[in-house]
Amino acid sequence: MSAALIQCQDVWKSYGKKEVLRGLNLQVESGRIVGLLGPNGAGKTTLLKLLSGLLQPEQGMVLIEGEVPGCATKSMVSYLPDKPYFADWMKVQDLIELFEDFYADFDRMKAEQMCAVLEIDIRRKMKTLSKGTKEKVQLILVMSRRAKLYLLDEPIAGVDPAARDFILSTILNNYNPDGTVLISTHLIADVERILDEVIFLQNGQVIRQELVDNLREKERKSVDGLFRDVFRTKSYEGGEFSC
Amino acid sequence: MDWRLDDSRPIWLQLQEQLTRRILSGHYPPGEKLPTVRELAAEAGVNPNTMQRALAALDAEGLTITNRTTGRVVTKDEAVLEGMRACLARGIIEQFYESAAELGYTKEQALELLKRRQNL
Amino acid sequence: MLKKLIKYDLKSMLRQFVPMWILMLVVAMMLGISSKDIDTSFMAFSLSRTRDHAIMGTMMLVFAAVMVALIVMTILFCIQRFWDGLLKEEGYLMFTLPVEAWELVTAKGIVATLVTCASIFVGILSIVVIILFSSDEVLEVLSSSGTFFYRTLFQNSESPYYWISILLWLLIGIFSVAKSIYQIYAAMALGHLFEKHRVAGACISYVGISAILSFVGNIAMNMIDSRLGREMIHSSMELMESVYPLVYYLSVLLLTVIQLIIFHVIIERVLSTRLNLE
Repeated sequence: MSAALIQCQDVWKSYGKKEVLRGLNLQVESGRIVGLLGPNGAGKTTLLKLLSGLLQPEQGMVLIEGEVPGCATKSMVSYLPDKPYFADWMKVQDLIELFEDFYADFDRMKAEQMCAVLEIDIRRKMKTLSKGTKEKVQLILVMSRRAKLYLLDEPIAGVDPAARDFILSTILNNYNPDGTVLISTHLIADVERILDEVIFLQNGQVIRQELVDNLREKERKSVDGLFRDVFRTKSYEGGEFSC
Repeated sequence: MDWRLDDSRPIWLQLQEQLTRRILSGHYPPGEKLPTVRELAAEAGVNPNTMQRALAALDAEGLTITNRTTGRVVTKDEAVLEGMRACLARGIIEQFYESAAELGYTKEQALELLKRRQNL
Repeated sequence: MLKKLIKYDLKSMLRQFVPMWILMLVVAMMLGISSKDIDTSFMAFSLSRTRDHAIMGTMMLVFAAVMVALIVMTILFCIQRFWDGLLKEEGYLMFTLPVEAWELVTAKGIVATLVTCASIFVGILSIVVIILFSSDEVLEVLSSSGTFFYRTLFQNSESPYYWISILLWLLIGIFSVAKSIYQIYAAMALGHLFEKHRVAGACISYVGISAILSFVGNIAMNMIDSRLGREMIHSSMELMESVYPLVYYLSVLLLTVIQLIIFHVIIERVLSTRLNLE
């Protein structure tokens, strides 16, 4: 039996005194588009950083294809953080060249084509681009790699609906079918249709992991609906309009 | 033809339904080769695995035949197509009677409505 | 992979600094020319003399300004490329590349050392340029100073240790620059550990490291200065009189390299295990 693509065993991670991940256990196979869902502070970004090798767990094991995150896993993991992550002074084509230089699985032509389709002038410096365009450039770079694991942190937050459609269809059209895409988001309604599987994260632990259509059959709800039920916070009832 | 999907029901089931309708309406005529899984999934905005499950269900029903060399082709077997058409039609009729009953009509009254509509 | 990292930092560095170096040399040349044949005698007031003095004075100010700008630029470059490039948003890009942490640090260190040494060299060269261009017969000065330089250089060339000494001198210079840069890097890396007050942490760490270094240095000096130490040195000096300077240089080089290695280990360990980009 081949090792699962992602394996997390009893993972603990804190920031100072604050515990973010508490004995997290997780297993994700390859060839899936998986949604990592949870409220803010549940530990989604932390988990993605652990998988991409940017953080180390205090306790427990994180394995990507059986290996601890490091140089070898970084060449097969493509990570999209939720904020811009390049030097402003670089031009788009400088970034394209950088990716081509360091990642053997980078498809330069595809990246340039996608920029052309979006009418992004690759000779422009990143700092001259609008926020939405910067995010699209980041996404293009990440998705132009033929990686085994794509980690996308809130790829559609703060983006207008037209751009959202572009991003989702880019993900669908460009991901490596032998690989897995792990999308962390709280905008579930927009994303649930492209998901195979969802993982619900709460208080640093996985509280549910299931194939999406099975979930719909069992709960007779959309994933978005289920999310609202699971993570419902009681609204404040002491205000003016209370009965 | 648009893909109209409801997130509270299994998507693969809805895809299967809509693909079936496309076949029966002639959008994919008998013998026609269907687009690839990826193309269909991209068109519908869904996960390719989900689309694959729907297409496999079509194969299971006999509406499509998958061949390694020719890909996925709509069946030419009229009997199968007619059978599916009749099955779906029964479903529509049942739905009609159910909806009419919700409004307070008996089956006979519902049938009268239909006849009157026919004569207009 | 290391070479690629160096290439990227180098390209942007050269783009910034080459114009500056050229400017430095050009201004030096202009300063030299403006002070050529300047009349420094105390004679009666003359407009042309005042004008010449004014021009030279201005050029001196310009030269000083450019020199200060170059120094500031160099220091800023070294600090900023590390702080912004590895410990801020760009760190997301750098630390997800399939390279080891030490490769990232070494690449930055090498380019920073290069730019600092080059700026120092350009600084010295610009003074030479001033002298050259302020003298009457440029070619004559050039050739006579050339011969002087040549003769001085090859004065003691019979002794085989001479060239080694010069080489060691150069190496000490380069590695001292590298060590100072790595000291700043180490302070920044340690400052990174203070989650809320990173800049303050870095400054405190730098002061702390400097304090520790001078403390250790003092102890070492006391040891050498003690009776036992002095006796040991005297006896060894008698043994290898001609080699003494060489041994001295080597030990200085060794100490510098050791500090460099210690700093590198600190930086690499902090960045591999305690990195926390926001």
